[in-house]
Amino acid sequence: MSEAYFRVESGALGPEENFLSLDDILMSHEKLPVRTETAMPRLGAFFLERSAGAETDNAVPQTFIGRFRRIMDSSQNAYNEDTSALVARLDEMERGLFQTGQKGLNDFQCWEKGQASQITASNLVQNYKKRKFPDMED
Amino acid sequence: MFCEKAMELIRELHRAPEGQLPAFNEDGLRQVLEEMKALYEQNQSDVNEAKSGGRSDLIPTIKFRHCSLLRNRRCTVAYLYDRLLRIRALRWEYGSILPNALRFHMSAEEVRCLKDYGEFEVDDGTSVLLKKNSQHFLPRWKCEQLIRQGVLEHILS
Repeated sequence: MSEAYFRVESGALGPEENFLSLDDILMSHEKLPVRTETAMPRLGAFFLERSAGAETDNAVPQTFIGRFRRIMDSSQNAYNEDTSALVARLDEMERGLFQTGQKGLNDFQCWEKGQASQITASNLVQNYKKRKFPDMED
Repeated sequence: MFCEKAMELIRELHRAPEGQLPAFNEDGLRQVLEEMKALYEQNQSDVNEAKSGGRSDLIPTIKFRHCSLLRNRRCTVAYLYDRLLRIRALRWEYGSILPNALRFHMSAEEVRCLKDYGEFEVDDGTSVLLKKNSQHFLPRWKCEQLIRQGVLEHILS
C-alpha cells in the first residue's frame, strides 16, 4: 500500500467529470446498443463483429423496417386509447407516421359507422368557437 | 470497436491495488497509438473527399472517428499521468534506491554508447561501464542528459 499515492478524484459529485480520472473514464464507457439515424460509411473495416460488407449495409434498413412495421401496427390498432406510452420513445418523424396511422384508423371507423359522408364544421372553426365563449364571458 | 485497447490500459491500472505500479504496457500503448494514426489518416483523406468531392455523407463517419481519437488521447494521457503519480509516491516512500522489481516495471530506453565514457552509476548503486559501441538498457531520466550531450545514442526499436 502506498500512502503517498493520491489518484485523480472523480468529478462525479461536481459539475463535470475529470479528464484524467480513471473512475470517470470507466464510468463514461457505457456499451449501449447503437441505433444510427444515418448510415456511416467506411467504418466496416474497424467493426470486427461485422466483417461482411453486406451485413453492415443491411443493418440500418432492417432496423428501420422493423420499427416502421411496429409503428404502423400499433397506430392502426389503438382506437380511442391513451397512446402516450406508445409514442414516448419515438422520434418526430415516427410520431408523424403514428399520427397518420391514427387518422387512417379514425377515418375508417367513421366510414364504418356511416359518418363518412356527413359534413361537419371544420376543426378550425370548432376550436375557435371553443375559445370565443370564454372570451365573451370575461 | 475503437478505443478497446485504450480501455484495457485504464482497467489494468484501475485493478492494481492502491499505489502499486504494474508493468509498463509498452505493447498496449503502441497499439493505441497505431489505432490513432490509422483513424487520423482515414479522416484526413475523407475530409478532403467531403470538401472537394461533395461527399457530405462522410461527415458522420468523420465525427465518429474524431470522437474515438479524443477518447484514445484521454485514456493515454490518464494512463501515463496515473503511473506518474504512482512513481512519485514510490519515490517518496523508497527514497532513491528503488527495488529492482519495481525498476523493471518502468519503461526503459535502449541506448548505444558513442564514445568511451567510463563508469556510470545507476540508482541501486551498481555501475555500468559505458564503452564505445556497447548497448545498455537504462531508465530514460537517467540517460537523457547523456543523450543530449552526445555520449549515448537512443536506439528506437
